[in-house]
Amino acid sequence: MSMNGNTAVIEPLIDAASGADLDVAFPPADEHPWVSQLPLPNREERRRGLLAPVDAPVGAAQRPKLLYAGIAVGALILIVVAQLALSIGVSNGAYRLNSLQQEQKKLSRDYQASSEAADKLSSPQNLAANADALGMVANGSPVYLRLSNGQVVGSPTAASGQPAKAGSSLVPNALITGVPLVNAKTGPKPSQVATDETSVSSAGSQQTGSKSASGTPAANVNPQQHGPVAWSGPLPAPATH
Amino acid sequence: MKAKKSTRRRTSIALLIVLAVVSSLVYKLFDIQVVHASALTAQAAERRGTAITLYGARGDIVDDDGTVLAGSVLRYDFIASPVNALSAYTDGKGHALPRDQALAKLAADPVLAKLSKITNTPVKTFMADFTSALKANSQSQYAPLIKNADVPTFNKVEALKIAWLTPVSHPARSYPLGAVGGNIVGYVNSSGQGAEGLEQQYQKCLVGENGEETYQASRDGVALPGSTKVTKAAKQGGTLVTTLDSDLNWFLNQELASTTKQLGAEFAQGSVIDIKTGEIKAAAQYPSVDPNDIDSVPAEYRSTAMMFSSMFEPGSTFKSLTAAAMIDTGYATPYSHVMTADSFSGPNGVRFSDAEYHPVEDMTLTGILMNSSNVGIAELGQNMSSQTRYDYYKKFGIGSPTSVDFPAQASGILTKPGTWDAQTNYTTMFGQGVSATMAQMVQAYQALANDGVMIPLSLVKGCKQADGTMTDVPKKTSTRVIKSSTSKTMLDMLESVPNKNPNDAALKIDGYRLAAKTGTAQEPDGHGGYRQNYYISVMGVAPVDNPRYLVDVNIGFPANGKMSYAAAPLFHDIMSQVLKTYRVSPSNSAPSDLPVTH
Repeated sequence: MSMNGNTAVIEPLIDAASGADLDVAFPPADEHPWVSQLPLPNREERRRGLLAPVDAPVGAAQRPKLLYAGIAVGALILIVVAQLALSIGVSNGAYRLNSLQQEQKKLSRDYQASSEAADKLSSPQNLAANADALGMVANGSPVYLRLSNGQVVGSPTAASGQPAKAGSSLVPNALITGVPLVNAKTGPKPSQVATDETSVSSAGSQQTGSKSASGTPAANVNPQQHGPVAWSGPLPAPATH
Repeated sequence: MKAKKSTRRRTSIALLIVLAVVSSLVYKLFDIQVVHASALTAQAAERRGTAITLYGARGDIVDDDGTVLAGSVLRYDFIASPVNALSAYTDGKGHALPRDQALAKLAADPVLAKLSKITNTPVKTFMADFTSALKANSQSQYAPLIKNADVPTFNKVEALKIAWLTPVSHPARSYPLGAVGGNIVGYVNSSGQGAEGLEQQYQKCLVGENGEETYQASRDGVALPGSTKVTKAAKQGGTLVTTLDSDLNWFLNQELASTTKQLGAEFAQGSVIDIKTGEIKAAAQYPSVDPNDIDSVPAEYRSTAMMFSSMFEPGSTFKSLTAAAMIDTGYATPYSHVMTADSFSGPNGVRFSDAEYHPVEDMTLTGILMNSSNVGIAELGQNMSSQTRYDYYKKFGIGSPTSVDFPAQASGILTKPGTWDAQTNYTTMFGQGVSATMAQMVQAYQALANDGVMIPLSLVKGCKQADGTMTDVPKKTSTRVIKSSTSKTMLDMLESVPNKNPNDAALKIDGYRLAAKTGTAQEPDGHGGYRQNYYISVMGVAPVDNPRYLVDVNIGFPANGKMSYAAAPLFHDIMSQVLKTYRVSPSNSAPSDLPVTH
């Protein structure tokens, strides 16, 4: 086999049509870009025919190996299994996500209920009514101690007057109706009522025919947690200069 | 040659066909993926996906330290499906009962009794909802049973596990502080749009925009992984930060209410201004609307805020503006004096008198302010050009609305001096024949007290957007109204009111230099005359040596205690509370001692 054994002429038409001497008659290759520039077959090769079988490969290296097939099939199985595992994982995740979202919804509802209750209880009307109920009186004449020279500024006078009648807030707040005072001996605690109380009309203008109000304890009130909460942390102290 | 040609032709035809097919495919692809992409996505989501609303909540209105004055909460409606509810009742063979029998069974169902107990609604009402829904549509799936349940109620209803009852949440508005600043904050209408007060004025800042999210649900309702798609992101409303101090505002509300009741007055209003910044720290009125329950006050007090909408003839507090004009132009000094009787009659039938009888005295301008003598200020000021006075009143902001953005703000009435008749020419000097709102009066006094420099009043600090930026910050362009020396002189003169007028001694606050002006104004009765009862007011500034806060209280037509000193204890309590709240250090200097008589 010569080195030219694997070459081929791809434009036999030109040969047949022109009938000229093949060795000389070709125009320059760049004029006919479709003409192969491979070396032409010699006379002996042409006599034998343009196409001839290629020598068969020899040796075990040319035979397909079982190992490769094994690797291919194994990889396929692995991919399928991995795909399955991933799918299961993702689906599990979806269920977990769903349950967490449900939990988040519930928690944000609880948060809303608690913060609404805190807002009610911390409204100035409620605080003032409780202060009054505990017998506290506002002192209208402030007295200051000037730290630089120890001078007392203003004339200290004891607070006078009677505490306002308990529960008679002059500044209405529909949200705190029904919330008892801290010193009430009987009945539910203020925190209980505030968390449980249903707002009959959260905004008079926007709600007509509200049908909610109730007296039974809320599901989310822990009956163990009534009464004063123990203080933890440092005692509160005013910032001094 | 022939064979070559035909091959070429075949090749090119094949090529053309391929090109045509490919380009039509490309066109279609472009059309689907680019041109109609969003419409098709929406259509697809609509068909396959479950859509849920992402709420863009209406923003809060907060006071200057973040206490919520108006906030958004979720409320729950429960919708029943009458068809599903009735289908549960079957006869012995599992066939559905006739409607009437099923309804009767439903009415007797213990679950309805429990629902009725939780929501305090009679079973009858529920049944009426059912029948009316079925009457409208015999296959009805929609009968709203419970409206606006809050969270505890929601939890209790959910615990009943009623299969035919579905909760639907929707945002609602809550006003935790009730009537504290109620008229300033305002409220929303039934569709959640601002209807009054700041809720109305700052609707654009507060409003949120609902978004939407779609997902494909599996058979058990769980979102398929990767299918969740936010088709439209929700936009949360901005937080409106006001300048109000809610605790101080409550105090003002409370004091106004108790004084109004005690004096048998019709109404009262008050405000506290930070002189250095022009910020309104408290603005209250009585009666004050509770935005949670707007029907609790008479209709005339429900809408807008008196401070900005109620015009009145300011009366004696207006004399300070006249005196400031006299001193600023050099027309008079605190020592300028005139023989002052208790009544005045001039040419063209001009007649007016002082509020109380007093002997003829040689009063200085200081004394005229201290005694609040109409006759005195008219005698002293009558030769000053009325145009000059008018210009000063204008500069003090009388006759034009304040720069505060508030709905239905009145501008007061100050007509041109050319239109003043002989009587009005005199009466404008002591605040009759002009009208102003409380906002305008405190704006004028702010300039008077702040070294003569007017800083526009403000009620909001700005609108805090979700990304933390502040928008809608009011512009603060300060303008000089009177000279610095005039401002100082005026305060020194007004200091004589609490210090030297025994009737006004109740105004005094230990340790602080206080300048104040009382007013006992008469208001037109609507029939050409003036009302019998007075509109009494006190306007005061403390401390005089470093003016920090301005307090103004007005009491409308008290039946008992007709004179301005009836308002003195109220003013004293509020000013003390203000000084205490803001830790204003007491005065270091001695009070001014300008002579009141010559």
